[in-house]
Amino acid sequence: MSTEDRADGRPDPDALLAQVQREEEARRRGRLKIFLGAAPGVGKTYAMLRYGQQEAAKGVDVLVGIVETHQRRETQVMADALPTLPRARIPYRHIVLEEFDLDAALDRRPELLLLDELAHSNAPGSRHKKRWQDLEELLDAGFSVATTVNIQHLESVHEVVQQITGVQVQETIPDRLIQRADEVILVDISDEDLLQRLKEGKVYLGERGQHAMTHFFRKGNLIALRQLALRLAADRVDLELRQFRQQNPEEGQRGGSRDRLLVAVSGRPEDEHLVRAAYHLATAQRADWLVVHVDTPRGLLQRPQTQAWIWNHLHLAEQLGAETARLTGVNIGAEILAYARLRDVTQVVLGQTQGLRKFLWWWPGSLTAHLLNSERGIDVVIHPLPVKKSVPEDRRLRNKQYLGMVDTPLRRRTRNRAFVISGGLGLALSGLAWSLGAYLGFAGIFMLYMLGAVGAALRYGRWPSLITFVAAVVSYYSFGLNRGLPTTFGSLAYFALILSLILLISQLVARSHEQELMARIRERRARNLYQLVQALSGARGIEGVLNASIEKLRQTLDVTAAFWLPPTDSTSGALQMFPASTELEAPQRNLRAAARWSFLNKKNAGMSTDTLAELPALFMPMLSGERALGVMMLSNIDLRQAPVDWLRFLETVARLIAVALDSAQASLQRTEADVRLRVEQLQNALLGAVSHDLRTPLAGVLGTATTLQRNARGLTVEERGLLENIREQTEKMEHTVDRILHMAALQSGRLRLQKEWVPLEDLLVTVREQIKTVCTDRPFQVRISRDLPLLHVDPQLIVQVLTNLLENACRYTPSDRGIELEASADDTEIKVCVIDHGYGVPPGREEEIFLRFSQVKPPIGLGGSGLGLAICAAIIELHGGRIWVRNRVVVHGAVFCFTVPRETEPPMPAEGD
Amino acid sequence: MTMHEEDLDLLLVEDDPSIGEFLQAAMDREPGYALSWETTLKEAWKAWEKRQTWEGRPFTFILLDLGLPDGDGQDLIRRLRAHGGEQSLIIVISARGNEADKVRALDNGADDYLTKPFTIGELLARLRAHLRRRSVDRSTESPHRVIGALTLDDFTHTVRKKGVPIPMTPKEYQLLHLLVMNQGRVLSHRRILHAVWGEHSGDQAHYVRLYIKRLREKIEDDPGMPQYLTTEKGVGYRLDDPEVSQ
Repeated sequence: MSTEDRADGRPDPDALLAQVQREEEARRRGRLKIFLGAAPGVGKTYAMLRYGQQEAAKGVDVLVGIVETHQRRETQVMADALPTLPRARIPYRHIVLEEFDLDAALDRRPELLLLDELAHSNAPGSRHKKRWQDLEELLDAGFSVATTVNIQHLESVHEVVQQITGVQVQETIPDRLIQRADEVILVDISDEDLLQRLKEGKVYLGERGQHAMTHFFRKGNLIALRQLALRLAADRVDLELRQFRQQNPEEGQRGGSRDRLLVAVSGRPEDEHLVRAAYHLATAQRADWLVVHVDTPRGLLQRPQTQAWIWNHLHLAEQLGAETARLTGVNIGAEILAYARLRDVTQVVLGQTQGLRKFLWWWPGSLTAHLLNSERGIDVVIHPLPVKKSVPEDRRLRNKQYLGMVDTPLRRRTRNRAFVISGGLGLALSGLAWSLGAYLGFAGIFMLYMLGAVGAALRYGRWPSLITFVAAVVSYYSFGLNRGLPTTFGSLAYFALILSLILLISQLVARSHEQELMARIRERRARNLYQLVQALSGARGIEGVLNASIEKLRQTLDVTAAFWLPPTDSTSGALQMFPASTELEAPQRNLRAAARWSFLNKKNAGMSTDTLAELPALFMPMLSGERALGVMMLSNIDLRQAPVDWLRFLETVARLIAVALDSAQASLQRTEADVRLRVEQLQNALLGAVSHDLRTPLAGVLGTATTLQRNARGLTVEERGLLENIREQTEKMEHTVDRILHMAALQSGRLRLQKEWVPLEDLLVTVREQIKTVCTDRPFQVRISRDLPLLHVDPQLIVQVLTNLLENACRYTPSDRGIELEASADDTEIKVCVIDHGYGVPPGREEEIFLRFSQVKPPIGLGGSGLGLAICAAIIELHGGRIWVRNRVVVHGAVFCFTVPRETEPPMPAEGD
Repeated sequence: MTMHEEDLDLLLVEDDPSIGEFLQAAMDREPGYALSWETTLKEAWKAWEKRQTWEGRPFTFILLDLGLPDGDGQDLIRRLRAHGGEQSLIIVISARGNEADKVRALDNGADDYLTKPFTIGELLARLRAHLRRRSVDRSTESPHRVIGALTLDDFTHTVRKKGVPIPMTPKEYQLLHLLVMNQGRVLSHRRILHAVWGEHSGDQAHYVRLYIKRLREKIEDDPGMPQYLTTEKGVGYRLDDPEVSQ
């Protein structure tokens, strides 16, 4: 999105989309309110608690997650007025630490959670290292949180604070939290007031209070801190205004297009400054910013420390809200330029080159020159860097530990050995030259040296090659001064010439060597992936996919993999490990917790990440699209051996497995659906066959009996009575068979409702036709409220229900008394009641009679199958309604009622059409 | 079994012996009916073809069971209707619970259906009703139609009951007219819907039931116990002449 393209004043669609996404995200996620202060003691916690109380007064369910009152009385009073979450007690080296209980908070589900001191570091063994990670999890889970933080803890300013105050700030929070916050409240008091409060002892300073008093709380510091806080707040207001304008372009000036910054970082520690500078630059310009590192063949051979720094810079950039990428190529400038073009970058930020090369920026091969000479109008900003960056030791160590990469003795020894061997080679060459000098001549000797130097370059690289040459020359000269070697200026020049030639050659050799190495690594990786794909495509079923993955990962990468998968029927249940056992020493419970966290949050966890880093395994979610299908658990990883981009490579592997899993699951589901379909067909066929085989003989019996009856001239009265008996019994049996089949169909759960919109009257016509034989000429009264809506039901089934209920009413009511039917509707359901004047239901059996084969012996006529009401209950349940019976209070009789949900009616025909 | 020219010819297509035998026996005893019984579709088709083409004496009724050993009875219905078998009235014999089959059979061109098990009395009454309708069909060419106490005037689109005009909306009249023209015959919901509201009225399926309810309120003495407009459970509606069918 370049500036030219967007000169028409329309808001950037990307930005609008981002806006919409932010809003949606905000709705889904909880709201975040941050109380920001310039220094401890300004009253953040108090302000937060007051806010909590205001919300609680509005009826919001407020919960104090954790609040440090520091024995301040007013604050304590405020806190006591709100429900407080008990703290988690975490045993740590013989003592018990009290911490915020994240899981309890998640379970308790408050509407607003108060979480003090966002920058706090959790006790070792907690799920997250930092409290702000707890906060992010809470927000992602949809909780609203209010929290407090001091300005010095912000990642982007903590260094500035350090420079101003001289106090090392240990705990930082990423700036994106501030950006993510729905509201940032600046809790501000003047520095005078703060100092006053400090003197009055109202500010808790802890055991290092005196130290802080003299160092941190100096007036100059406080003013500076306050300025920082005010500026941050102002920036945010600015941003909000800008966002508002983007949404409502007519309200103000046009929403402009966005610039895009690109920062190139290397593995130098001082590039951290560059990242921070770019962050400020991007924020000031409201620009998107990208941070890239270009991996060159040479970079591949860099020391692990350098790799750690690169990760550190990229990680920091991500924390500060940048998009990061790692590119690969030989020419850094060309790669950066190509990427910048691809992403419509308007400005490239580079760090000032260090050392000698600083003066060679114009050199055609240099990065700066490359960018400056590019045909496209990209601004290049060269940012000066401090010559020596004083990196706090703990920080450096943290970074190293972060990837588990430290310069191992082993590596150092290898390098030293290379130097020793090259030196030795030089000496040996000297010896050779010395003894053969007479035959070889001056040029020959140098040729010999060159041979050795190139050999060393091939084997060990450029520096050893140089050592070989220099050692050879120096030793030769020192031993062989008298052997007629020229010591003139000419020979020295000759020596220098040869030296540069060797430099050049060894450079070329080393580079081609490096390129070959890089190609080899790439090739190996591609081969690994290819093998994995091959293994996965050959795997059958979910288990097959997992086994193939485990096998391939062990073969190719020498890591032990295991998988955590949700149970196949749902995604909510507990994750199950595959294979079921592991030789890891951590308790299964912890592994499960990490896997679950990774699964739910779709982020890496465990070893070398920020979450549950103590665990001896790395957890990676297996993502197919946006869906996590499970978690891959890798143990036995030696990150020290890890080549560049290992994590991302592993992520690719996880994705590949996820895709294979996805298709395996899909095919499983297909098979299941197939089986279900076949079972259904079989059941249908069976029911159909049974139905046919039972009914057809009955039809024969009935038909034969009636035929005989019609031509009954030769029969006695008694015989005619017998025939009539056959007919009656057959009809009854047919009826029973019918109901049993009906019940079987209902019970099998395969019965699909064929819902239609029907007026109740229409159903009743059919019902009255059907009950004719049982309810002969009985007074029947129907009361249907005039505005009764259409019923959305399966007409045949509801006819069945009504028929059963009315037949029952007739059976259990003396024949001279009438039956009534009443129908009415409210907003949610339609109720139909059948009222009789019979003997009622035996008290206490009101529910039992809806069970199968349960029956109250009717006083008159024949009993039914005992299935009628059970069928009614099953049908009504299928419709999502209720059915019940009660006895009438004043007069005898029972009232059977059922309901069906009222649904939005379909369009009605226009009047008179 | 003797055959007379004036006998009503029935073709029974049924594979089940118990039903076939009792119908055979019953019809033998009923004067004026002659029944031929076939057990497969193939035989039935042959028998029909022989009568229709060679003897020119088509069956008056075809009683058809749908589930036959060599195929689905629906195919035979379609085939008969496609080969000029309009003279024969097709009555489907099917078990309860197969309402969908019945609807399909009616839509394919069957005239009526009987639900198993049925008594011989029901069958005979049904046959007589169809014969009467057919004789009425043949006799009246006038625009006036009389069904019981109802009179339809096809010129003025008015309906009178015992001489008293009943106000009707055009659609109500159209529906009543359709039913009257098919008096005694079961019309499926779908067929009514398509005939009155057009082919593309899928979302108006409930109109049929609503209009039937309205018609009943207008023409029936007791809309809850209709005499004219009867419901065929799960299948559709039928207009009967109460004075004839009683």
